[in-house]
Amino acid sequence: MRRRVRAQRAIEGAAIAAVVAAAAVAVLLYLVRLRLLDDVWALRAVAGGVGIVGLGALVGALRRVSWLSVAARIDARCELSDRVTSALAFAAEAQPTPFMQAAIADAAAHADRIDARRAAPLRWPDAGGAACGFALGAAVLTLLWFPPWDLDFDAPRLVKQRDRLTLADDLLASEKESFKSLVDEAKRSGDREMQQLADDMQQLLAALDRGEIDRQQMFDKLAQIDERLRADSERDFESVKRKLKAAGAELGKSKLGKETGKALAEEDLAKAKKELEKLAAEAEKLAAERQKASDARQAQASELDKERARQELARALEKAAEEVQKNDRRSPEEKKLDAEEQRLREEERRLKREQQEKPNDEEVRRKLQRNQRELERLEREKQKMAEQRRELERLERELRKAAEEMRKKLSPEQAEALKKLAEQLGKMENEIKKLGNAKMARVQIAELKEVLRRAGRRGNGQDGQGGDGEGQEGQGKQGQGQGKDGRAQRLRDFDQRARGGQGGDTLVLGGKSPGGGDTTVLLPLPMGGGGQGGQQPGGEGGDQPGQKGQGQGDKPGDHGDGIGSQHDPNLYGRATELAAKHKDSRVSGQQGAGPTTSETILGSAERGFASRGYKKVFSDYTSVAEEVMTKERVPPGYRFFVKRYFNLIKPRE
Amino acid sequence: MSTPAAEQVRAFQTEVKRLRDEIAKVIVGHEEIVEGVVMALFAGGHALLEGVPGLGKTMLVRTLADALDLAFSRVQFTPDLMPADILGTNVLVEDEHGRKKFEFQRGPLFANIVLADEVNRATPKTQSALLEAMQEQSVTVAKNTFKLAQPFFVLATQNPLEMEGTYPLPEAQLDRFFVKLKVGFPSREALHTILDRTTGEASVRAEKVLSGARLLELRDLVRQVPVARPVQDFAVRVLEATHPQQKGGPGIVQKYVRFGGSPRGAQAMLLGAKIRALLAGRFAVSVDDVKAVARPTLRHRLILNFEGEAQGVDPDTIIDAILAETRTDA
Repeated sequence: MRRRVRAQRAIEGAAIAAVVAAAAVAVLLYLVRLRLLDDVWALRAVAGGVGIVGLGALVGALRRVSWLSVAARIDARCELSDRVTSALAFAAEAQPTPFMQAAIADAAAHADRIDARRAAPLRWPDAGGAACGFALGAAVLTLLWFPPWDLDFDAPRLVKQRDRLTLADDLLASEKESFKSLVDEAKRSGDREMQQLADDMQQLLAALDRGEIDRQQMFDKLAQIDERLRADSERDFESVKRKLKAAGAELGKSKLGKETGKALAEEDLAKAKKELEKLAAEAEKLAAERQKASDARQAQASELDKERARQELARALEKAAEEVQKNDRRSPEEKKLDAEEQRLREEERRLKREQQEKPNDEEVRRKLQRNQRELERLEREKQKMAEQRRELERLERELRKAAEEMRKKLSPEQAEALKKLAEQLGKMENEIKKLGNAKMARVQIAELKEVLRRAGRRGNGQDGQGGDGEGQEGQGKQGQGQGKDGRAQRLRDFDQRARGGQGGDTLVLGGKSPGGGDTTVLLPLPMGGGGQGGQQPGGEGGDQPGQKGQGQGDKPGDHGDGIGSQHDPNLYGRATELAAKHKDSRVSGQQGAGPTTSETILGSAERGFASRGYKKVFSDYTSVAEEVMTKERVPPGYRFFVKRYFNLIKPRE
Repeated sequence: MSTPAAEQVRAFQTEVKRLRDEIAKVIVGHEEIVEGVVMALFAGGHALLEGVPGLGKTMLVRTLADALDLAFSRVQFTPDLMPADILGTNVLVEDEHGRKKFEFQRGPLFANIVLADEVNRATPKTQSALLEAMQEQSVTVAKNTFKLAQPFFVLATQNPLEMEGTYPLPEAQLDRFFVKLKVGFPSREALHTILDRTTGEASVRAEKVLSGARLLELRDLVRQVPVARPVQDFAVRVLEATHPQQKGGPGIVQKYVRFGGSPRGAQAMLLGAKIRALLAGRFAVSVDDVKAVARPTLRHRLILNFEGEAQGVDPDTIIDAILAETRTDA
């Protein structure tokens, strides 16, 4: 009887374990079919599933079988009215009563009714259906076809509403503009890689605009692009620039190389290149003239002057070459890379040893793969650094060659040497431009990430009250935090005012306007939309800055009965009757320096950002802001606000 | 099997069968009610019969009294009934010498079988006097305590429909009844038989088949029936499950019950189960016996909450749910 109970429990245990195992196998097979796991995992999953089922059966069979449960089962199945249970209980008593003895005897008399098969039948387990269902599911998964992963955002795809990432139109336009300028710059410098990358970024933004890309995909793609840029932007092009500057300073000391040196010192490699080309042309011309010279005396005098200058330039070129060579050929960055490589190689050896000891350890395998990837990355960086070093060596060689040639008599070789030097400088200029572009692109990507992050946060809370609360916002008709629609409306109003039109609301800071109103300075609307307004109390009801809402009637003491929504029609009093004849007059513009910067800003604040003067002021201020942001270490969060601010107050057509 | 125990069981079966046969001469149908009343009688408890008028409640009690060789009294409970009316009172009497003295005149409670008809019509004061006597089996009047004759068996009836001018028994007093039996409407067949018997010439009366002394012997026999611990454990778990505070109990209990059965409920269940086992010719109680007596012994011990009362939840439904969810082999 107990054996049968154990057997049934084993079946039950196996069935329950089979449900768990089949579910786990189904999940693993699904991952294998999606190519997220190797094929070997399918076999492992099946083997593991079988093991789990066996374990379940074993646990079920080994569970303790109490006499009580067996007796209760017999009584219930054989309809013995608890005779067996009672008899077993009474048999355990020390002094059974006559009735207990009679009960035991009664149970014994009914023993022939006990049927082990009936009492403990081997039946289909309760969890059998579920186990079969899961097993079937796992089997179906092995037969299904799954399309390969397609993360390419070119293909239009519906993005789930909850993952959808949206950017405000103006922010999107601003980002597009940034990357467009990057494309232009890349085109100018002939940097095809950067051009391709900037194109990718533009496509990404277009996909974002169309709502075809979700948050995760966007950030993944940005991370990929950022990874591509990292190697370039991390190269030490600042040291190259420093060396060229030092060489320029030395060249500037000679008479002939003065202009070239000056251009190099100013980091204007294009100009330096032109100057060298000019110098080469001059050398060529002088050599030709020398051959044709008829007046020997004149030629001799001129020759002496030129000789001195040439010798001077030769010395300057040599010194410039020394300056380029001066520092250790191997930059600290290269040394750092070597040390890092050595560390990674040691790590690799250690991991390989570990892998030999534990060939099935997934963790070790993963670490080893990661290590190898890092090594490959280091190798790429080292190659780029070596290339940069070779460029500098080439420059040094060219400088020395030019110096050598300069010591000789004027000849076409000198001109050739100077031309090559110019050519080399041109190459380096391109190289430096590319590096600069890469760095700029990384900054722009970091800024875009920040914008997207903020857009996400704002998106989460945009329907509620308040928001980031930065800046100040007037409590006009719109009130506080009206959600996305309210904010959009306010932005439209702001845009209209910025173009010089009349907006619905007034965003103002305190101060006195020239017209005697209470409000003067327009502030851009912040995105958060939850800030407490800085509106002046005198502005109630006014639609325009500087206008009072409460008008005064033509009768003394006749006040309005509340806050008005329009001007008093008699604001200006009774119209003057002009009985006299009038004469038209015209005022022409005055020539002069024009309004000061502060006047321009004040005027733009009142009339919109559409004037020509404002464009210049804006350009000046933006340049300063960009310069500061480039030179200083400004966190992307702060950069976002600066960009946002300048984007909002940009000149409008 | 012819052990003394087996003989006693057989004798019990025979005696009870004779009693039931005698009752069946007069009472048609209502087998469950008769069984419940007999169970309460042999368990030494009291029974509360609930049903609309005219269903034979009073007749059943009268027939039982006829079949038993015991003193019977009937009290019709009314709102103006006083405790002294049922317990008895001291009255001034004159002896043969002309001296006057107080003498206790016993009330109708001093009988072996008392029919408290429409018990919910009396005031709580009178109900309390009766229920105290039921519990203590004695009556105290003017500092004198009088033991009630044994066996003492009270059968109370109440009408569930008429609420006007009634005083429903408090829960604490309901608990003193061993069983509460619901008298239902007889079947068509039973009605025919009733009409034949009651509208014909001959009137049938039950014969006396069981003496008081024998009844007390059989009561002792009932208490000798053993209960195995697993079976008793089942009864305990059923009782525990009637309490909404009990974790893991049925949802219906949590939803509709304010308070569950008292330990008297478990006592009643086991005693009733013992009688049932004896009637089935067994020497020990089974889980099925406990299940069979759970309804009549527990239904008046469940106190429903407002929601249960408002929705008119039948306590039998709750008990059925408890029995269905209580495992027999835990």
